[in-house]
Amino acid sequence: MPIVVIPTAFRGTTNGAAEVEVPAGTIRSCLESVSEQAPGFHELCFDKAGNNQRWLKFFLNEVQLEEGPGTLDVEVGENDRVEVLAAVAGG
Amino acid sequence: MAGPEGDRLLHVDMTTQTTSFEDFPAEWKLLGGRGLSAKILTRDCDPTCDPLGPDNVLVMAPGVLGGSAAPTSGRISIGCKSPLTHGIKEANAGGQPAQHLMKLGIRAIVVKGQPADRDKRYGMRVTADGVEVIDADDCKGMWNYALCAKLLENESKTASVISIGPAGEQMLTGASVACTDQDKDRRPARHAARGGPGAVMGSKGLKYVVVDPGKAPMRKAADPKGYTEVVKARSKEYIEGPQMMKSGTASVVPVANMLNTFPYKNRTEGQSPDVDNLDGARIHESFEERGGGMHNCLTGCIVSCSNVVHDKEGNYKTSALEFETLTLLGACCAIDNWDDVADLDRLCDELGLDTIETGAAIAALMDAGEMQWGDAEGAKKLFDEIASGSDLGKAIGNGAVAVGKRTGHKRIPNSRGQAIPAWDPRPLKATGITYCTSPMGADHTAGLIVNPAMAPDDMAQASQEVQLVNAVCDSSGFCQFLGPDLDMIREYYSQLYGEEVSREQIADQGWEILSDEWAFNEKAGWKAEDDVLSDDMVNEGIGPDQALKFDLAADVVAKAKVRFDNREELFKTKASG
Ligand code: SF4
Repeated sequence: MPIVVIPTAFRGTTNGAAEVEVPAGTIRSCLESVSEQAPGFHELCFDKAGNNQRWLKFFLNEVQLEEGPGTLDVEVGENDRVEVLAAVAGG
Repeated sequence: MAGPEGDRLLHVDMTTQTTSFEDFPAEWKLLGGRGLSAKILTRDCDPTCDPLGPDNVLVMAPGVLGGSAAPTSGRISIGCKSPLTHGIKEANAGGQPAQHLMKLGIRAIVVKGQPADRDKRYGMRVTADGVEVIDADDCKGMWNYALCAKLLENESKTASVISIGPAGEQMLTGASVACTDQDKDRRPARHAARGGPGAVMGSKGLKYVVVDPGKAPMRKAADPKGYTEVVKARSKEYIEGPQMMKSGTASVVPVANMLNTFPYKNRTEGQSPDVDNLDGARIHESFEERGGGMHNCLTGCIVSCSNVVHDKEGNYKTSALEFETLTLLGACCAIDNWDDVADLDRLCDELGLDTIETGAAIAALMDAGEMQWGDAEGAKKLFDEIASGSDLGKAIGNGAVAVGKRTGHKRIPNSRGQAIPAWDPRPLKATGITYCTSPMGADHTAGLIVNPAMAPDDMAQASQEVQLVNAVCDSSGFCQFLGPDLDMIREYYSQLYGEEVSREQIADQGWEILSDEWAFNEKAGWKAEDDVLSDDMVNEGIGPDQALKFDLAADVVAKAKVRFDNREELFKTKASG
C-alpha cells in the first residue's frame, strides 16, 4: 500500500503518526483516506471548494509535483510514497 | 590566515564620542552575528550592569558570510543586555547595513558609554574614508521614516541606515533598532525588535548610524572557485526545491489558527473568528488592485518572503506585514482586519517598537478593561501617547508586563518580562521548552518547533537541537527563512576560510554560543527556577475543552540545557523561527 508522510505540524491529527498507509488511488484519495482516520486532517489539506490548501506541497517518490489544478489527480500506485510538506513556520 | 583579511571591530565610546579600531581576533573568525555578540558581551560587558546605563554594551554584528556571494546571508544581529529580560539579547534583522559593514571589513560596531548630557543626540557615519560621530540634535524625536529620508537625501545611493525612533530615545523597553531595506526607497522597515535593543541604543544617545561602503568590493573567499561552486549548487537546490516561505509568513495565519496557535483576546483562546480577514491571502489579493507585492529585504536574498503593502489609494503603507504582527496586533487585540494591522505595523516601525511586545501590551490593556476589544482606532491613538511620552504611552512602550503593573491586571502571558510570541507554547510544548530555556527567553526565533504531537520525552532534545542550529544560523548571517542546516553552514565556512570545518566543530560552536549566553545570564542573576512561563500559560487552557496547557514538568524542561550527544537529526535540523 502507498504511504503518506504527514507534515510534523499536522501530526496532532494522526496521534503523532508520521506515516499512514492508504489504498492506492490519487493524491486526493490518499489524503481523504488519511482524513478518515485523522479528525481535523481534512481541513488542513482541503479548502471549502475541495482544492488543496495553498500551504501544501506534494512529493511523489521524492519528486515534487507541479502545482496546479491537476495536482490532486496525480495517480498514486501500490508502492508509492507521497510526502506532504506544509509551510508552517516563520514570524 | 586564508580568506578575508584585515577585519576589524569598530569601538565607539559615547561618553567621549570617540571611535577606535581593534584588529579582529583571528580565533573568532568563524564567529559573527549572535555568536560574536555573545563573545564581545562576555568580554566587555558586566552582566550585572544597568541595561540602560553606561556599562551596557551595544553590539551591531553582521554574520560571518555577510558581504560575500552567499545568498540570503546579509542579516545583522543587534546584541546587548536586554532591559526587558535583564539577560543577554540578540535581535536579528534584514536590510542592507550588515552587508555594507562587511564590505568595509567591520565585523561589528561595539558601542559603549553614555554622554553626560542625556538630552544630546548623536549620529555616526561609517564609510571607506573613516568614521565620524556627528551632532544629531536636529534629528531628536524624529520618526524612523522621516529620519531615514532626511539622512539618505544627502548620501550616495550605496548608503544604508541603522536607526531608532522616539521609543528608543525614550528608552522604552519594547524599542527596536531599524535597518533600511534594499529597495531604492531604502525604508527603515526591517527591525531588530525583541528585548528592547532600541532602548539601549537610545541610552547611548545614538540616534543613527549611516553606513556607506561606496565601491568596496564583495568579500572574497580563500577558495573563490570552491566558494562559487557551493553558492551555485546550494542556490540551485533551493530554487528547485519547494520554496516554502515564498508566500511570506502572513500566509501561515489560517493553518496556525487551525492548530490553535493564532491566539485571540490576550491568548484566552487559540483561534480567532476573524481569521479570514487577517489571512495573508487577503494581502496577496490586494496586490493586484493596490500594487505592492513580494520582495527581498536585502540584496542577494533568493527567498523573497517580504511583502510590501499598499493602502487603498495605492500608496506604500508598510513592509513586511508578518504572521507575528497579524497575531499580536491583530487577533490578540481582537482587531479584525489586516488593513488596520498594517497601519499599526507602520506605526511600530515609525516609533521603533517591537510589534510582538506592543501588540501584547495593547491586548493586556484591553483585557484589563481599559479599552474595548477590537478598537483599532483607539489602538492607533495609543501611538500618539507613546510618541508624546505620556504615562500610558510609556507603559505600552515598555511592554506587556509594564501594562500589567499599571493596571493591576494579572493575565500577562510572558516569560522573564518578555511577551510570548504568536507561536503558542500550549499546543506547541516543545517550543514552550525553548521559551523557558533559551538565553533569549520567550523568543520564537531562538528555536521554533511546530509539532503538536511530539512525545514529551523527545521535546527537550528537539528544542536543544533547534536552539543550537538557530544560534549557528544567526551567527552565519543566513536568514532563518532560507532554512539552512549545520552541514550547509559548515560547507560555506570551509570554502570561505579554506579549512575544513567538521560536523563536531560546527555543533560545538552552537553549544558554545548557548553556553556563553547562559553563563552571562547566570551572572546577571537568572536562576534555573525561573525557567518557566507565566501562570496563565500553565493554568489557562485553550483549544478543544480548553485542554491545551503548558503542563510540562520542570525536569523535562531542564533537560534542554544539558547537552545531548550529537545525532544525525541535529545535522538535518533546519533553522526555524
Ligand atoms: S527571507 Fe525574507 S526576511 Fe529573510 S532576508 Fe529574505 S526577504 Fe528578508
